[in-house]
This record gives sequence, C-alpha cells and structure tokens, in this order.
Amino acid sequence: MVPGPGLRLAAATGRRYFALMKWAISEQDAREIRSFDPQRRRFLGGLAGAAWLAGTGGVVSGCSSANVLRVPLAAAETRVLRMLAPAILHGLLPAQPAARKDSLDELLAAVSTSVSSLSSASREQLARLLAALDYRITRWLLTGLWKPLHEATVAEIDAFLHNWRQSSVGRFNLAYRTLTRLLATNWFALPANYRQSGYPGPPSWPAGKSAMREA
Amino acid sequence: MIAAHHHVVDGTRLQTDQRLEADVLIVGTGAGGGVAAELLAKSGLRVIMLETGPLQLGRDFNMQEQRAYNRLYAEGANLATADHGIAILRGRAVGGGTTVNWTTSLRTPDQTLGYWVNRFGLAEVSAEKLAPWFDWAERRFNIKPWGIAPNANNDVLRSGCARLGLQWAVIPRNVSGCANLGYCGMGCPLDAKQSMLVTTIPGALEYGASLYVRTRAWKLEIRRDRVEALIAQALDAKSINPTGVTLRIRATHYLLAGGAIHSPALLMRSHAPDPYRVLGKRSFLHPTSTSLARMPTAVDGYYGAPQSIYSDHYQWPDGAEGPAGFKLEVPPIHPGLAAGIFGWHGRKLAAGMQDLPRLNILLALQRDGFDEQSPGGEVQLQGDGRGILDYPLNDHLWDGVRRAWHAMAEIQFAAGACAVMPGHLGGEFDTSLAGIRAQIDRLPLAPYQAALFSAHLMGGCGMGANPRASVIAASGRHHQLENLTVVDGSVFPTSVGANPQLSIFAHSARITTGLVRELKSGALPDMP
Repeated sequence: MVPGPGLRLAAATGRRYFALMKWAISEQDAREIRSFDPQRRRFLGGLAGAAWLAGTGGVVSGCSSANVLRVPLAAAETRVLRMLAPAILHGLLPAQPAARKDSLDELLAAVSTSVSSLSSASREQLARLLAALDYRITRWLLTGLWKPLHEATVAEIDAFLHNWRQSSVGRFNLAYRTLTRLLATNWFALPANYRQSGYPGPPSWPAGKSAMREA
Repeated sequence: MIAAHHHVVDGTRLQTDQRLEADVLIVGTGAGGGVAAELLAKSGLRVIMLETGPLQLGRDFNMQEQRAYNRLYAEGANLATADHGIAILRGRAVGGGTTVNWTTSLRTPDQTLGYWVNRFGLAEVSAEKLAPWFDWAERRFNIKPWGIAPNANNDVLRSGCARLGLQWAVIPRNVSGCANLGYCGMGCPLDAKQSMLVTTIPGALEYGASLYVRTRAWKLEIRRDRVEALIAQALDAKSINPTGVTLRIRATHYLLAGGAIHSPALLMRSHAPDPYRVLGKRSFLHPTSTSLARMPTAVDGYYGAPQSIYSDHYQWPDGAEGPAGFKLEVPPIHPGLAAGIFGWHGRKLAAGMQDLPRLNILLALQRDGFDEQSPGGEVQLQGDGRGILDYPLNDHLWDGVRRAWHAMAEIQFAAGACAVMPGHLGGEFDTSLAGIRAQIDRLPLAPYQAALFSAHLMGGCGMGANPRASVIAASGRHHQLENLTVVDGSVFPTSVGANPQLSIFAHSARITTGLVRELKSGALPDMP
C-alpha cells in the first residue's frame, strides 16, 4: 500500500523528532532514566515521554542539518540563543531596549565566531541541541515548555535551566554546560562587559611593545 | 623571528595540487616537531614542516580572549573528549601548544622515568641518561626558575602549602625578557616566551626548511614496512575544511609530531600496521579538577606569570602505582575562562563573576596511566576520518578528584580564603573548611557535573621495548615501519606527572639527534 501524503508527512516528521531525540537520549542515558527516582529529584514531566521515546528503540539517524552547518549560526539557532540569553545572563544585559539589542547583537556575533571554529562533528551536536529546543515536541520533552521560547518568561527558562543543572541525567547536565558556557564565556570575554566582572582589561601595551621589539 | 625571506606557504592560498620532495617531512610544529625541525635542518637535511593551524605572530597577539581562542586553539577552545566529559585546551597554530601554553617547564619526574624503565623496558630514558637532554633544552629555551615574586593567585598555593607544611616549589619558565604580563595563554605579545614560534621554527627556516601552514596531513601511503608518501589537504581560512587542493609529499623519512590525538589518528587512517592492537590506546591527559576561592583582598589573577608555583605534595602518595596522585598548580583567571569554569547561569553566575578580582582557582592535575585502574583513553576515528579521544571516567579517577577537592580547599583556607567551592555544577561557596568538606563528600561524582579539564595530551603511540605492548621503540622508530619516527607527547607510555613541554623537548631532541646521526653520520657534533 502506498502511504498517502499525510502519512508520509507524519512519518517524515516523526523521523525528524526521533533523530533529534538521538541527541538527547543515548543508551547510557536510557539506563539512567530507567533508574531515575522521582522521589529523590523531581523533574519535568516531559522526561517520562523522553524515556518512552528512547525505550521504543525508534531512534533513527538521518537528521540532515547540512544546510545549517554551512553557516556559522542559522537564523533559527540565533533565535533560540537570543531567547536563552536573558535567563543565562540574568541581570547582566542592559535594561534599555536599544542598548539591550546592541548588546545581544554583539554577543551573538561573538558566539557565531566561536561556532565557526567548531569541527563539523561538534557543530552538528550543537545544531541538534538548538533544533531540539526550537521544535515544539522535543522542546516540551526536554524543557516542559510547550509554548515557543519567545513566549516563555525569563523565570520559565531559568526554571528548566535549573532542572538541567540539577538533573541526574548526564545529557541534561551536558546541555546545560554547553549552552551556559557558550553564552557566558563569550559574554564576559567581550571588552564592553569587562566592568561587570571587575576585570580592568589587558594592560595597554602598544608603546612599550614596539620599544621592546626594537631593543 | 620568522622573516620574509623564509619559505612559508599558506595552504589556503594554493590553487593547484602540489608534488613535493624532502629528506624529512615533519607533521606538526609544536614542542616535538619544532625541536626536530631545527636539528634536522641544521644538519643539512632538506626539511618540510606541515602545520594544520595558521601562522600567527607576536604582533597578532592582542591579549583578547575570544580572538586568541578562536585563532590559536583547536575548536576555538571548545574541544573535548568523545562524550564531552573532559574539556581540552589544545593549541593549534604554528608552534602548537608552545604558542599558547603557560610556560611551565618541568623535567619529567624521576619517579615517572623509573616507572618507564621498569615497566616498559626503556633503559634509554633513565633519569641519568636523559639529564643531558634536559640540560640542552633548558639552555636552548632559556628555562630558569621564575625569579620574580609569584602573583597573588600563585601565592595562594605557596602560602597555603607553607602554612600547612606541604611541599611547594617555584616553577621554571621558558622566557626571555618577560614583562610579567600574564597573557601567555593568548600568545605572547612580546615574543618573550621561548615558544617554537620564535626559536626553533625560525631557526629551521633559516637553515632552508619549508613550512606549509593551514595544511593537514591526511594519509600516509604505506607499502609493506615503508611509508612511500604523505597526502595532505590544503585548508580554508579557518583551518577546518579542505579547499580541495592536495599535496603529495615524498620523503626519505617521516616524523610525526601532530600531538597525542593526531599522530595516532593519522596512523589509523593510513591503516598503518598494528598487529597487536595497541595504536591509539593508553592515551592520557592529566584529568584536572578545580577549586575556587574567594580571597579577602584582590588577587587580580589575570595579571602576572600565570604559573609560578606548584606543589607535588600529593603526587606520589604510594609510589607510582595505587590511588591517583595529583600535582597542584593554578590557571590564569581571565573573565571568559573563569565564566566557563563557574558553569553557572543567571544571578548565581553574575554574583560569582562580579568578584573576579578576588577569585583564586587551584588546579589538581591527576597523574593517569600508572595503575591498572587507570588505563587512560583511546583515540578513535570519527565518521569524517578525524581523530577523537574517548576517555571513560572511572572510580579510580573520581576518588582522585574527591581527594584533590579536599586538599585544595584546605590549602585555600590556610591561605586565608573567605569561602571555597569545588568546581562542580552543584558546588556552593562555603565559608568553613568543615562545611566544604561535608559538601565535597556529598557531591555526586558524575561526568558533566564535576568540571574536568585537560591541557596535556599524551600517549597513544607509546614507547616501549616490547612491540606487543607499544607502538614505537625507545629510538622513536615505529616498530613496524622503518622510515617513520614519532617525536611528540604521544610517545609517553603513561602521563608525565608534570606539564609535558620540557619532556617533549628532551625526547624530541634525543630521538631526532639519533635519527640525524643515522641519516647523516657525523652531523650535530655539539649535541649530547
């Protein structure tokens, strides 16, 4: 029987979600999830669904992110990172809208440069994680948020980041480390933000430098 | 200095495929390849050097973290082990790790060499036999104990150890005319660091060697027990993707110095003989844990020689084997690096970071590979053919991490810390030693939760007398390939137990001098 277009679409969509879940759930994590003790540590309801997905063994490869990999950061990826930034950098972004936008633009440009230095394998892993946060079902499974990230409050994003940090499932800790490090490292390394850490910046050296070189 | 009359070719700019010939082809320009290149070229041999990374000179180094990480480190300093359990800082530019390391130049500990002699049948590398090679390297790279007072970050380690009666010592550094800036990790803007970039590579070029940058050694063509040629890929401006232009280089001898991931990976991709399945195994990286302290006064850990004090008090608890020993040092504390170590977000991150000037960080570098429970990791090939290090974390390692957190916290409080926190996602600053000890015992020891780093990749092409248990002989020669020699950190049969650059200098000089005397008898009379 030839499947109709609706079924084909559903199958294709399903494959895509399964592929995304491949990022989120490995064999080892599946074991951890099975031994997960809800009494000991509460976690988002989505986790049960994630475990079910992993348990079906329906994880297939073929998440084609080839288009994404050709650019430093795809538009959808930038959008996700822009939504996460106010929670990860809470209290550090300027309050005034125009300044805030400039600040975020500068951060995303720096992140984009970092991302362009990644090997294709690392780049693909990051692409999978960001795509998983962009697609509704995988986002819900990973974060408990059904609504788009841009409709989520800083508190809601902060809450799932906390859950990721405190999770006993390694992949959530890794996702937490990956995203917080990407944004925080680039943020604090920007000269415009030195004062937030009290870092006076590198010594001003050009004059002395040339003097030394000539000596 | 690398100058205009030197033969330097940028792979990115090559338009057509190249066929080249040399007496010796060297893959990699770090501590191993750099030392070898100068000695070989000086002896009159025709030398070609290949470097994956770009050529960046002192004038390009502007002390900005982001620029430095993106240009000078593998993956923009985002490299990690296969499961991301350990973050890896690995230099990737002309000069390799020596361009970006923190200048610590310690000899291989006698205990390590004794272990190599006894366990791996390496009589050639006893402390006594290696001494003249260390002497040579210390002269060549102006290595001397740091003569200026340690910065306050290093002084936390010194004063804490002194108060507790623990061993500590001043670190020797490979610098000349150092202005104590503190930016060694971003490339020395003064060319004071005696890295390969300003010493042996210009030296080799002056003797007529050629240097191809942004050029990746991809495959050795092997026939029976000889390497016939090496195929290399010209790379794009980011030194990541091939441009499509290839280089085919034929040489009498091939010298691998691509580091402990890339040397084994190149041999694997080339299907080099490996009859006993030892290639890429026993890879080590000094898994490094951290402890953060808030000090009562400014530490300003971003300024001053990054590493000037170390302690080996906990390095050899039961001799070489048994529970993991660790060496204590400090990192430079620049804001990007520190934000990464915190591993936090939101208000907690902002609060942690706003005290950056008062922050001290201690590092515990675990000595891996000395015990049956510490077999190290394994280099594997990924789908795209590039090497990756799979390094499983086990209880032996976690036991070392927990003991190191205890030791570091005690030292930090002894040095006057107001509050201490282990580098762990669940870590919290605590103002009492008792409190922090309870916290350390409570924290789950799991990948990603405990922050683990490495800046030292070693092993994978291990040296040994027995071909069934090693890849190369003490001479550096591959056990099965007669015209291939390895001179980088991959030759070490265990981790070094000290920052490896001086060990690599000494082994590369020893191995290369032997090779030169074989290829050109009578050359290099002034070497040991």
